[in-house]
Amino acid sequence: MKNIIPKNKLNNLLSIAVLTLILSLILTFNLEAASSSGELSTMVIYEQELEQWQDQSRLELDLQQDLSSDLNYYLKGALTLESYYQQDQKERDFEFEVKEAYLNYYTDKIDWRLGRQNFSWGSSYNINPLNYFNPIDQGAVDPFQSRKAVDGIRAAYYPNFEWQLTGVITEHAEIDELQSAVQLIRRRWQGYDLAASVFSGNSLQSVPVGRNFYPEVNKIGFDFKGDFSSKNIGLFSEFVYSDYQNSRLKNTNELIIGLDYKFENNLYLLGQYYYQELAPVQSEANQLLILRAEKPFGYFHNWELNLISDLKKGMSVVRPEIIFSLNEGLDLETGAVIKLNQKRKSRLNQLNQELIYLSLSKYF
Amino acid sequence: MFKKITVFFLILFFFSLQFSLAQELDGDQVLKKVEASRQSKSHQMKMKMELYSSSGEMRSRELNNYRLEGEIERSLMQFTEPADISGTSFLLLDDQANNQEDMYLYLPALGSVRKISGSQKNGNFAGSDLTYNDLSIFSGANFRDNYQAEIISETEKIIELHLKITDPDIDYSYGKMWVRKDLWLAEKIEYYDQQEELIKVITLSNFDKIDANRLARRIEVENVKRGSRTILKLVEVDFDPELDPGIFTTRYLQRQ
Repeated sequence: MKNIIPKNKLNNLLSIAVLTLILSLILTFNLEAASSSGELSTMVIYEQELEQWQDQSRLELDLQQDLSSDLNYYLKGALTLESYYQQDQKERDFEFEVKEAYLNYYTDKIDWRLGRQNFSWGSSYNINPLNYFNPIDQGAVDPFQSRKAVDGIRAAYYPNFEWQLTGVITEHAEIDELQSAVQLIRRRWQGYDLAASVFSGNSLQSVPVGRNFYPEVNKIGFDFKGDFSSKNIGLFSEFVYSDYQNSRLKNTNELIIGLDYKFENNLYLLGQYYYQELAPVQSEANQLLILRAEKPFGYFHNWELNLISDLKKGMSVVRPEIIFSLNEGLDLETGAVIKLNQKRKSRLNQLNQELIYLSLSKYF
Repeated sequence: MFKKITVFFLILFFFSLQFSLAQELDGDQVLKKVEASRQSKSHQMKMKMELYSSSGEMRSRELNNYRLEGEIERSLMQFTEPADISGTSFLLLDDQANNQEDMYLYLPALGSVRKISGSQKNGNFAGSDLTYNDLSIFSGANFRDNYQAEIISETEKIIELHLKITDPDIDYSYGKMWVRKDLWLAEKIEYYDQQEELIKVITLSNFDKIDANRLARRIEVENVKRGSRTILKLVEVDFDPELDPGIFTTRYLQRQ
């Protein structure tokens, strides 16, 4: 079985090359000309199943500088201090992570991006089968909202406003394998944006027929987003067909279709259905229903409610969240992850921990 | 001699009648005059937005607005302050001939451009008391696309109009507009809901004239029901600048 050795990120030549290049450029050019911003946050989490308290302090810094009219760089780093408290035990974890680091170079028709980056292919909300490159961050409070950046090169060719052709070569997030894809976008066609893509590489998530097994796969994907009816209701869809290069795995289809709408009273509603066939021969398809509502209240504050239901297993996860704006750039956020009708075999159960949290964030 | 005097007075009467008829505008002609206050085909503006809650708390935002007229109306808004929304950009492409409107949003946290549904225009703009339609008052609105006007009253200085809503995307029941005759600019607009209750008062002030363009440098929007208000201040404005159409593209948004 191939691909069983997790890649050693320190040996990732591409990331070292890009970081070295960026650092040398920072030193060459005037650092004072760079624009910086960031977020300082502290969060307390109680994980109900583990009966464990966790506090997390994080400093996130963004640095951006134009080196010339057609060359710039972007750096995003995060310094995290985590402490875990369980009965009498206490653990501390300190981590610095370069979350994104890339160079942009613009020519007349092509925009290049080289380095650690995120891709946002796909029109649907959070769950994007069309994102072939960035795996979901299973350690995050909301795994579906956080994806890990990968090292790679992206070239986007713009012959005119309506068309965009993008080529991507990246390292796989977990193993030493190159991934490649091409995407063609047609914008403003009868009010819709359409995209088609092909991918050749390895599966983004490991397939549970062996440890750290990321099988080779070729994929074809389509997506669209636009409005229908005189009310301008948003309609979006993603479809991906995966052709696995392994006789023990069957080829799969994934489909998302969804609607979204914002009312005059600022209530925003989104609903999407996700059908996911799984590669192992015996496994059944997943069917998820995702509902999201959000609305401002008290002028500066906001509430959000996410519901994810596993229609096959009958389990749901509810994520209520309230964000209070205490002052300019100072937010107090509280929320929870609640499992309803918990089923051990449901993927939702494996991906989500029941918890409550409170966080304070200062943006600067 | 008497005949000549009679002819002279008849001619004088005829011209004075023509003159007084020219002064009697109907509502739509008044709107046309208000629209004519803006002659530019493009602009770039720097704006400051102050949001006041009913309890008096304040938050502020700063943004740049670029607009270019043509077969497709193009508008780009970029937030520059505060830090938590800085970099957020909004692109609107309105192809009125083909009745097609496309909107794109760039969120720095996502690092990518997303097409957003047209219903996003239903709510308020950036958490303020302004709707997207209200914003066009600053940008030089084509009032006659949205309203039919009738004159309610007229004084030496002010014409009061009743605005019948003709654009189905505007949710007000009707409006009233007070137009200054010396500037041909609105100085106050009121909007009413389906129950005919006053819901919003827009007050324009700090009038200015730049080249052939007349404008208000301050717009205050009071949400009567909610008790909140938003003040939009024009910090800098440049009419008919040489704007590169390339900035009104998803490619440009992606580069932010």
